[in-house]
Amino acid sequence: MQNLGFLFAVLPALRRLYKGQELQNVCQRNLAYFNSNPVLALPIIGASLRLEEKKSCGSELIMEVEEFKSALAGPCAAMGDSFFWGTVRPLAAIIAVWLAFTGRWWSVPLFLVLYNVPAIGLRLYGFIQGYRRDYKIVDNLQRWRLSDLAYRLRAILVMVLGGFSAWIAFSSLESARQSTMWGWLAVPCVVLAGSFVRRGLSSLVMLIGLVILLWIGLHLCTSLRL
Amino acid sequence: MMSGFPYCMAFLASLVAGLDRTAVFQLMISRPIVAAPMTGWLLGDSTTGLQIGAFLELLWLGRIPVGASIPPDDTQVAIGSTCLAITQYPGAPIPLTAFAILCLLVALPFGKVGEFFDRVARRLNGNLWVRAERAIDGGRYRALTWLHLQGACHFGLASVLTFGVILLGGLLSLRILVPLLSCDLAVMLPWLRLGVPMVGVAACLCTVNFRPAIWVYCSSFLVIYGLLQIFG
Repeated sequence: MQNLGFLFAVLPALRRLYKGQELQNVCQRNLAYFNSNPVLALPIIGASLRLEEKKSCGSELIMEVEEFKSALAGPCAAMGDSFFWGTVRPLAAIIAVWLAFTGRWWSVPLFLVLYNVPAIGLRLYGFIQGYRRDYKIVDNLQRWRLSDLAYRLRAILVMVLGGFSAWIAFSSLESARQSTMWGWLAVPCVVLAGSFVRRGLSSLVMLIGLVILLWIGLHLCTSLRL
Repeated sequence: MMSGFPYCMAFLASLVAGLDRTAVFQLMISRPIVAAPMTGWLLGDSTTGLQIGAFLELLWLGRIPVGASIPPDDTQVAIGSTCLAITQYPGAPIPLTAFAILCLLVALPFGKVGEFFDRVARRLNGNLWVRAERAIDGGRYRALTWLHLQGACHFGLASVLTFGVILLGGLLSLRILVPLLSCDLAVMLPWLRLGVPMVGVAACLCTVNFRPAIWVYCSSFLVIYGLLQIFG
């Protein structure tokens, strides 16, 4: 829960706007349950600050600040988690991993740049836009079309995963001095492993199983040759 | 005598990356692809760290910490296995990459412990809410800042404790496994290099929310593999 973090972020502004008992009431309100995506929480913080400012000047609000916050937190969490953690991060990571496997050290800063440029950019821009547009930030969130963009980026992610699998299969078989024709079996193997994952088998258990199978296979081959 | 300096540096990396994971900034320093090379660089071997980070990142590529779900602590697994690989490497004839993968496999199950410590930190942070309400009632607004920092400290402490468990468990497991597997590791290496990423790719394909994922994946694989076969 990020309610204490939310209050920590807005407290300096609240202390300027309110005093005494009023400040206590506002702080209690801002301590209400809040849970959202860390990137898309910033437009909510910006808009909430603007609304608190308006309220402190005596303006009538069409929707209370806490109602606005709780109404936006869920959709922003869903959009942000899906876009940043479900799409941008895996895409940046697979590009970096591919480069890391080829021994390029700059894959690490590249990963940080690929993820953080949109994330930090949207944090800053979202906060400013939230503060400028208060309720109307909802229009901005719709206009950004993060869900559509995430879908397109996921298509690129899957394509990169396919390319990476092909490259790792080819290079591993070459380094093991085996025929690269075996590499065509990688796709059915991945599909089979995927079906195990869908049935609830964790990748950790699969990995341990793989090591045990390799070890048994190795010893079987050795004993058969003997 | 074994120097404690590498462990102190790994401990520092564990704290910084652990804080980045949940409580502070979330700049993705906590991701294995960053945390492992960073630890490796601090311990004087960033290449091993990069290899471990790449394998681990692939393995948990599709894991998303959505809502109340707590995934295994991949950050501390990355730091712990890098620390183990660099400090415990027995030398030839075991290849360093094979030993690094063994350290990763040994550290992975202990990553589950991170879930427990993370849950404890979240429970402690849940209590901060009540204390924050009391501080507001008493007009002690500075206490709110301290309570917020205390919440971050709980996550930092959980990370460091997870790192400790991974390190101790890893040291004990390596003592048993290294004599058992030392002869086979070199032969198993190319197959592990192929198998570990494939498991990660399969897990990621299952979690990615894209309906024609399997068809796009297969097409992409076939085109690239075909090109590699022709021009490779």
